[in-house]
Amino acid sequence: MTWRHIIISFLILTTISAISYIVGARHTLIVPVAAADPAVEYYTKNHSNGYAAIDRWAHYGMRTEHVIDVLANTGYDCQQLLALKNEGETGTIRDILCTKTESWPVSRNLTIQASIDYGVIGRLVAAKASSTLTSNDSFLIKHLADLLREMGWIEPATLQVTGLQIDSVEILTRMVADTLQPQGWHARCKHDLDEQEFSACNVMANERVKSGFPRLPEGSLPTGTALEIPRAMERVHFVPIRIRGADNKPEDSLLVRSTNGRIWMDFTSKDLVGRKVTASIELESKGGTPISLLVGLNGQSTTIPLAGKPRRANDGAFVYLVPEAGTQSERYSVWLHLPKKHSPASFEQLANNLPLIDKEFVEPMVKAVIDDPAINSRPEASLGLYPPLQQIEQKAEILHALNTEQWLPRQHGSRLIAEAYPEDPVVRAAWAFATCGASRNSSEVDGDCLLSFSITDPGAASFVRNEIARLQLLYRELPEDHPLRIRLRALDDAFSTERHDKYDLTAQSSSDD
Amino acid sequence: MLAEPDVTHSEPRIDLLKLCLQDFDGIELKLPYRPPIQVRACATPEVSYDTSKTSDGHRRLELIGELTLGDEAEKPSGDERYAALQQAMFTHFDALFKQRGYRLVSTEQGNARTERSAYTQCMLRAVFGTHCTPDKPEPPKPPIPYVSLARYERQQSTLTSIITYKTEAANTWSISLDDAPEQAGAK
Repeated sequence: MTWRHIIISFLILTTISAISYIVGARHTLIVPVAAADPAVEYYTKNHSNGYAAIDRWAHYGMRTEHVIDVLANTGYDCQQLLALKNEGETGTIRDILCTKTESWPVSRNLTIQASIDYGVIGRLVAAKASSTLTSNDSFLIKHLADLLREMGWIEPATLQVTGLQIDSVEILTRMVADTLQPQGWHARCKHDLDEQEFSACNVMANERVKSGFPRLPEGSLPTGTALEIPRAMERVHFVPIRIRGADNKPEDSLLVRSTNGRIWMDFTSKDLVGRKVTASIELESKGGTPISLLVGLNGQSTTIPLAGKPRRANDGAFVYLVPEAGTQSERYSVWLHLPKKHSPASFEQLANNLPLIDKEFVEPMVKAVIDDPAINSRPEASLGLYPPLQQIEQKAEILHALNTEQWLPRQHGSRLIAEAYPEDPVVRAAWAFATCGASRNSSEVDGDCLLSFSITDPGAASFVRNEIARLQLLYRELPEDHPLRIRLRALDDAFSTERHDKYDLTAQSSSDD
Repeated sequence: MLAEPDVTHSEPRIDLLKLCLQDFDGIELKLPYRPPIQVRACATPEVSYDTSKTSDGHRRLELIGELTLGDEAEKPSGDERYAALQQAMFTHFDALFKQRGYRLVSTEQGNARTERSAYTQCMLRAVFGTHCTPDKPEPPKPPIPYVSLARYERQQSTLTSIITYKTEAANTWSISLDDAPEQAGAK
């Protein structure tokens, strides 16, 4: 071959390459529209544009149908997603091949191998691609192809798809925070949009392409309710660590982790290079309100405060999330409504549920009932217009309606109430009244029971004695057989110090009066 | 029987009730142990709580309650139970007003006995064709009294404050507070 031939061949190759670049760029440079969240494009902007720019938009957990649709729209022919033969294959990883033949500038077969995790919905967990010449015989074609690959004008021969890599806690935190926000991109810009929303979403999309996931707001991050969390996490392909199977629990029952009186929902995900990430949301029992987010990656973690939305009933009352009783940390949870003042059935329903819940949450629930303003606080009560004995009897009725004798041993309950209300003798006395039959009919007062209360809680007992004495003085001129005088005499007798002294002396069973 | 205002919006109402009660000449109202009572309305020249009525310069408190003292098994009849309830109400407020420096000036008695003879009761229950035997002549039964109205006064320098406690209906009461210039002699 003469120098002249070499120069001519080089010029031909260069011309062909230039033309290929101009024509080929139209096919491979632009990321398929709506293939991914625009924020993903920000983090993958330096990735290869070959193979339908899969390395620009792919991310772990993408639905298989979505991956196939995008590739099909760019000319790829994908295998059918095979149905599972049986449920035992759930969790199996299988590959789907998508192929395409490009004829310009050199004829080659493109293959994308997508690894799919067969769960309830098939999801992308890894991908790689390869490009082979249809004809390996031509020396010219082979070297032309190598030159074009070298210059980046056609796809590389092989590509390990990495897509969106979650390689820092910063990205992870922003990504999770973004999906949790009720007014974020995922919540607002994925469905049918009206003109106003379309315009707003365009602005958001442009921002996301320029700078990725939005920065965290100042202060606490607003989120939805606990029931909205799984769906929000699913949008960025986080799955619960414990997944509900075919169980008989209510639809709104959440699988939670409960440790030391705290409630967590745990999620996990990966990226396409296999990097594992975790996200845990702590919930407050009252309203099941999300209160903090903990994300973790490669041993690093960060926590941000959340301003979650509580779950409320139709009348605005808070609904409480409590874990069921159990020995393992992961367990189901239930939603409990506080009882309504004039609904005995609501008290009974709560009383039936309290024995079934984690013991760590019994005290907060009982306290929530006692302190519920909807149940026992009128403006008059808030202003302290009612006498203490009436408040004691009212709270005692509430405790009595919870049937505590069926699920809370008296001594344990006394200790629980004493620890929860060290500064409130009214509630401590109410507990004694409820468990000693003093909440209503005077003839049912268990004097020995109240005597025991007097010994264990002399402060509250003294408070009650003083109140009884005050009322007896007030009503002293009423007839002896007046119901109030009868009632106060019975209580006075039950709390009398003479009875107390007799008990101390005998230290046996109670004496007869 | 009891009116149950919506307590889910109670905070502004709490403040309003507090203001109204403070305008009651520092009486520092306390409600009785029994029967269970609520403030139905409170009106002063400055404040209105749960009422659209204007106060006309007067201060007036309306109370409403349940007709029970708890276990009234000791009282055989509804009339006696009602009288006992009224006694308990009056005893509480009488002590409250006296504690605040008021003196009882006059009272009026109500009668808790409902005048229904056997014949009247039969007629009230009667269905078509029932024959009720007229009552034999009997002396009228003695009344079962209770205080249905009480007036109190307190003099401070040139001003006389007058409280009127009154049973309005079976389960409602009113307390009015008026100021009058000093008059010669007590009522």
